[in-house]
Amino acid sequence: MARIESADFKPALITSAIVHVVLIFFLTVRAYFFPSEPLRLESAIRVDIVGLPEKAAALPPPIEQPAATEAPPSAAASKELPPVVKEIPKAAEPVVLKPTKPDPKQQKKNQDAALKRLEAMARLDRLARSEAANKALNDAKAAQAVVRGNQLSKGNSLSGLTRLDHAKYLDDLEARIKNQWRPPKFLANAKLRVKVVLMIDKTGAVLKKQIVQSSGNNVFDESALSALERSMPFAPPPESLHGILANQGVELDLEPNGFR
Amino acid sequence: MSYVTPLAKLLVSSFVLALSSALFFSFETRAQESTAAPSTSGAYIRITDANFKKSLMAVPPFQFQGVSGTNPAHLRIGKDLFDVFRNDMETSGYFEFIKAAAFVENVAKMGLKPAGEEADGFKYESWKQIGTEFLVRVGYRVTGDNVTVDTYTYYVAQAKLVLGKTYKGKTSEVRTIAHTFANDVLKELTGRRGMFLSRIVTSRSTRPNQKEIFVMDWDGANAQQVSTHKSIAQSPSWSFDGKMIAYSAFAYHANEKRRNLDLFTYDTGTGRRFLVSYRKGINSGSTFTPSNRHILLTISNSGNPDLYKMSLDGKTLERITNGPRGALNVEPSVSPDGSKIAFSSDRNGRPHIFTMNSDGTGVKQITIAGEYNSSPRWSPDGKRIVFAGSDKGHFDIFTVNADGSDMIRLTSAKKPNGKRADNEDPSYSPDGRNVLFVSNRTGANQLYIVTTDGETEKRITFDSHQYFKPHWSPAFD
Repeated sequence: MARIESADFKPALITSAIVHVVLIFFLTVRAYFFPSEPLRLESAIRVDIVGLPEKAAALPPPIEQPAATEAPPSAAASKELPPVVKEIPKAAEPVVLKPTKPDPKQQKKNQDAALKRLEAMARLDRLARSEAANKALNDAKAAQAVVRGNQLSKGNSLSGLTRLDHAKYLDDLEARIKNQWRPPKFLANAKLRVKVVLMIDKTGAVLKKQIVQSSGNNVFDESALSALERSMPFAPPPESLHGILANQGVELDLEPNGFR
Repeated sequence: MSYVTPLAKLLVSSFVLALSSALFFSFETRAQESTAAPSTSGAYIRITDANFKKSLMAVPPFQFQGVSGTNPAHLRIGKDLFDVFRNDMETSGYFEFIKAAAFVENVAKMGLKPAGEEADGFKYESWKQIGTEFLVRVGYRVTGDNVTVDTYTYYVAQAKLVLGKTYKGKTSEVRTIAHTFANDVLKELTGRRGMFLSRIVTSRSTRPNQKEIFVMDWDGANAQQVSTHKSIAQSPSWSFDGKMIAYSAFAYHANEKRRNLDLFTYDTGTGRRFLVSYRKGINSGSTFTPSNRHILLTISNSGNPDLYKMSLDGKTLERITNGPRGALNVEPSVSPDGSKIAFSSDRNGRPHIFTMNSDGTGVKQITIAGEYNSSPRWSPDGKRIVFAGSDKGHFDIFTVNADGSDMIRLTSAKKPNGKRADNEDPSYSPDGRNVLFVSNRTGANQLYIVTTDGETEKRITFDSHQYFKPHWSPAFD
């Protein structure tokens, strides 16, 4: 049939055109009222590098003195003042190097040992930071994502500098508080859990620190509050966190040996 | 009507299709969007790692509160109370003590209560500033041969009293009072009593080639000899209620004209002694069942040293293990709930630790590594087993879960000549916090204890006797 029946074709074309127009109209209207976000390809991949569990120390380290955290400030303490310019921050250190209350007098030797340890940690920390600054953003985040044993890291969702600041500040806060938390040994097997809310204003000053769910044990609760006190002063949070930290605050859920 | 060419139609349709599908896809991606923006419902941090640390305790000397404060006998009482209490607290592994030189206040003039409650009371602030977490204030009075001890234990950070208790007793019972106080402090802080009123039974050398059974306080005080066989008495063990001790001793069998290793029981209350099993060969390595009505032991009169369950009078015997031929099945220990027995056996070559049901079924091998694993004992909660294992020629103490997982080594001491010492014959304290064992690190076999995390070791005996196979008693309170 060389001749196309234009009589058959016309109604089909009209129907098709109508269907197309209706579809376009429908989709346009829908897109207008429910706009979608542009596709973010950089969030598509998440990689967790998992390491083997570390060998547990058969003999735990020698008695740690509380003075381990109450070392006098070193030159590195000045680095804690945050950069004024909002760029990739040289973060507030997770290692604590800051002035505190006077120590028990008899812990001088342990203080020296603790100082050496802190200096070593500060050196390692400086090294780590300079390496990170040299690599791309992704590499730095990937290096931090190595986790041990059966724990899952929070993963990386890299979508802009805001996300990075936000996560980095909270990570630093967590590392700092974890470093300062020293619950008593006699509660090591007690399976306790305490929740504390911490509100920080935009300069890093503490607006509120309060126990919202007690563990039922005074000494354990007190150890959480002491950890916060020893972690002060806090660095000013990034802008993306101003509102949250000043109004709702951050909830700290402390449960030694709990599931992550 | 061909106002539209077929090609134009094709172009228009495909353009329209492309446009609509582009819009359609953009609609699709909307559904996959995640909330990547910072959440507006607050931040959350979860911390599940903690560096536990010992608590700082200040214990000023106990204060004599009587009229004639310089009677040396009275001062001696205060010192004994103090020394025993401090030793107990230190052994728990939970506390470190602030040196007296660091105290700010004059403790001799300071009251037992805070300044708000009495005139010469102490000031919380002056204890807080030296880092005190717990302050213990104790005063005592002596009337005749009775002593009254008032104790106040304060949690300085919150300026509150956590335990205020008075103890009364005879001046000859001062150590018991101090141990009871220490138990009460641990109970208040951790919910579980301490082991400070418990005792140890052990075999100890008396003369060359002679060993007898001795009983002493957990800290080595008040040692008493409880057997006089004038031969070798060994492998004692407590019943679960602490009333009886079972042990083996070489006794002469006149009719056979030879010595035999017989099993005896000794009633600690009445002092009466019973010969329970004198079957030919070995009657040894005995242990009680939790009901205290049976004894498990190794008997070799069938030709093979096997485990048997025997009634307390020695008459009824039930065989629990049966070879295999040539194997040694020794050193049984019954779990606290009575359901399982741990023992040592060389049935697979080297001696290893096995567990089985209390009727002998379900034998499982617990240790695989090591040259010689022996003398297993259960923890009071039934979850772990402690044993002595030989690794590269010397013995160390290990604990392991009842299924063989999570093994840790508790000891690794060296002798003065640099060689590794032997640490053997372990048993748990009744509160499960410590393990008692024998070590020859000083040259002689002496008794030591170690906390169950392996961190703090403490020597118990300080003499030149040889100690063997001690067993820690159950709690007596």
